[in-house]
Amino acid sequence: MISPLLLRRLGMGVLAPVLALVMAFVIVAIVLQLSGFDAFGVFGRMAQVGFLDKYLIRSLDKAVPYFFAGCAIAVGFRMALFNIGVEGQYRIAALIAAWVGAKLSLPPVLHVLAIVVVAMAVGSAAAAIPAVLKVTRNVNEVVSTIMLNFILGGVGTWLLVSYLRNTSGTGNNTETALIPPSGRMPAADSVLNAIGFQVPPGESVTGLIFVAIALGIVLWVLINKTRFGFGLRASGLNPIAAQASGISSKGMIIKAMLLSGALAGFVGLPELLSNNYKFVSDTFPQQLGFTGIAVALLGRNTPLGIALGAFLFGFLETTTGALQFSANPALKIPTEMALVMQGAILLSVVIAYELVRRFELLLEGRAVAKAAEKLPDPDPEPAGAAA
Amino acid sequence: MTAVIERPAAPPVRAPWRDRVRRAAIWAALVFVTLAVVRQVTGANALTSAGTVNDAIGLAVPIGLAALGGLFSERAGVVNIGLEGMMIFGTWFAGWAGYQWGPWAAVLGGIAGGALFGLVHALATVTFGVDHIISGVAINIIAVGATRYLSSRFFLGREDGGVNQSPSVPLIGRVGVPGAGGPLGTLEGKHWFLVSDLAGLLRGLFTDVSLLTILAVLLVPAAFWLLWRTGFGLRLRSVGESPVAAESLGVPVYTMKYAGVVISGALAGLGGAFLVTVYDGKFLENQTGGRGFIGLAAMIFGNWRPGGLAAGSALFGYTDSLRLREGSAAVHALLLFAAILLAILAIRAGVTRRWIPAGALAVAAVGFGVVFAVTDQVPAVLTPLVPYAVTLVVLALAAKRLRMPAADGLRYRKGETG
Repeated sequence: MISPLLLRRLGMGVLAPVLALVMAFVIVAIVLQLSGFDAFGVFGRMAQVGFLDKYLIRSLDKAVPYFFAGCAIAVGFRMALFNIGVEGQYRIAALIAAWVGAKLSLPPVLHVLAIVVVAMAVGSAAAAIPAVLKVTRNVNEVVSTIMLNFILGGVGTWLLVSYLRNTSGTGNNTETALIPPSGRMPAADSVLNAIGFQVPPGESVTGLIFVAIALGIVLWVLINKTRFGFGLRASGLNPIAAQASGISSKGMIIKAMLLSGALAGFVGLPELLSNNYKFVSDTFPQQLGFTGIAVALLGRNTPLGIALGAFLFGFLETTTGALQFSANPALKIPTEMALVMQGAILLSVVIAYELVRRFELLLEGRAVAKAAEKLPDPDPEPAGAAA
Repeated sequence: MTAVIERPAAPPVRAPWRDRVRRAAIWAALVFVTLAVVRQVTGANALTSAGTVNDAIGLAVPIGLAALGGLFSERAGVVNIGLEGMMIFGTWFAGWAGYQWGPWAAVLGGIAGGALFGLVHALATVTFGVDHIISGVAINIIAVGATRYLSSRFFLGREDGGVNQSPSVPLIGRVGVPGAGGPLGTLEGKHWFLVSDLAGLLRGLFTDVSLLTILAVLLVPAAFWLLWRTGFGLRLRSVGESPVAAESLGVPVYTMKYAGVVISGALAGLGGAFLVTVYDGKFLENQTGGRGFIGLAAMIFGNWRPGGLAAGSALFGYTDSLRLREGSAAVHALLLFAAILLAILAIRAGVTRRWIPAGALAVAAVGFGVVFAVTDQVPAVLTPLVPYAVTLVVLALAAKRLRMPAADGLRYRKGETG
């Protein structure tokens, strides 16, 4: 039998994200209605379109980088570290990995593996800077990573323009050379078709989706079932107690940031290995590091939750994109609405979690009070003493 | 007869701010003379030209306004990395109000737009107890999407308007000391050591200055006065240092935090309006270009104080102005400037027998000198990174001398004891 306590915790776990989504949709509905759109029509159409194979597949494909970004952020969050630097880390990692990938000539599987390793290594190295600054100079990682996002971005542009640019190609585009076919990731389409999805022609899901699933499982085991994971969670919940029980907080900060940076290295890989096969300065996806924050929070920092959050964000993007082609002007919302929705969800998520947490505390307090009533009075007043 | 209690005569205390002002003046003079020397040596006349000075002030103002915004929020204990987002809203609302009712309406619109999202940040962090960083990140994300959305709603289809820009907004008027430009310009043209430099500085400061720039510069002492010389400021800062103690003395903690964060948003929004009404004459997408974050950097660089953040903003505005006006050659001369300044700092540290910093500074000075000698320009893409790099270095090296408000970034619930 499931204990009522467990049931309640489970209910609370579900309640918070649901409450958050309801809040976000109310906010977005008000915005839409105020600016002359038919909010319910828009949501209805999004739900209707979103589950068509074409858009479902697209959402799945879009969700993969969001998932990686969410995981990178979540590893930091688990020990109360805020790695805002995922943004800068994944971009520099992708740039270097793209350049190395185009230079190398290796057999198929090894080639992909080499690119992945380079991306992870560069991401880790970039994340090591704020980690070292934090443990040696006590510099707040939020501030240092904000600064580093700009610095790494600028250094990346400089490296690309001066050294890593493809000079033999056409024109003066600021992009790296193409990664040869041996360094590309096969699409997941045939496997997906085999297990019952129907990938329509013209659509494709990156093969990295399986990497993402495997990574999610590994991460879950690592955080929940290993000594390292225990240290991570303990340091996050109570750093002083963790330190007292022999967990080096400085060591944990370094390890967590390196892991977070390595995961950030994955964020740019779908673009490199499955979509474009090169780093193009102007069109390389941006802001994924920040989206990752929202995804991690929505998913409560667990791999499964992050996967659901990532899918939801992909879903919002593809469906608002689909509404662009709507004939009805009351439904034809601008694509920027996806960003507004994502921001609204992010804000609602944290507010909802806080409200649910307070509610939970209230319930707990009541339960304790109730239990206390049932206890025999420890100090009964002698009969008739009051008279 | 009542006993007269003799008070011991108070020792003559010099107000600490007087000391600070004196030291700042000495440093400013030192920096200026060094710049003059570097100009004389390298021949990079742009270093102290009126144009550079004038542009530097204009570029420093939006950074400084964002930094002042950060100051009000963080002094009340709320970390505000949503400054960038509030500034973006400021630019949009300035564009929206400005094309309809003129530049001063744009200023009010920018202030209101920034303040509105300051209110959102306050609601999330103070009332709902949301993590300050997360709320700030959310505001930054929303700002980008919402302004583009609003533009497509309100600007698309109007003259000059579109999804990424507003119709034109008239610029705010510019003023100057009459008759000062001519003689100073002549003097500047002679390129005499120090004299021409001073003429350039004065001409840059007193001719062709936007009215809004003057207003914005006055806001720095005004902020100092408000935060350090009034009861309101004392209460606001007490909330940022120890909300528990403040509440026990009857300070309305939530109200003060709300006030700080809303003022913060208003100032960031004013910074946005400045970009619209002094520079571009319209709202543009990505107009802020990370200035909200640079403002945050300037505030940290300035140790959470108005004078310090003004100095930080001036430094960042100055490097930006050199880059935009003269390109990489003038910025290259700054390497020599940095080397000399670091050498002076090293000597100062050596005189007071702090050998380790002295050694580090000396090494850095030599490093800059070598880079100056062996290169002949700084890559143009790297110059905009100066604010971020300087802030990171300051954070890493001077972390012990920086002191942020004690309860900055901490969640506070009414009635909870600390």
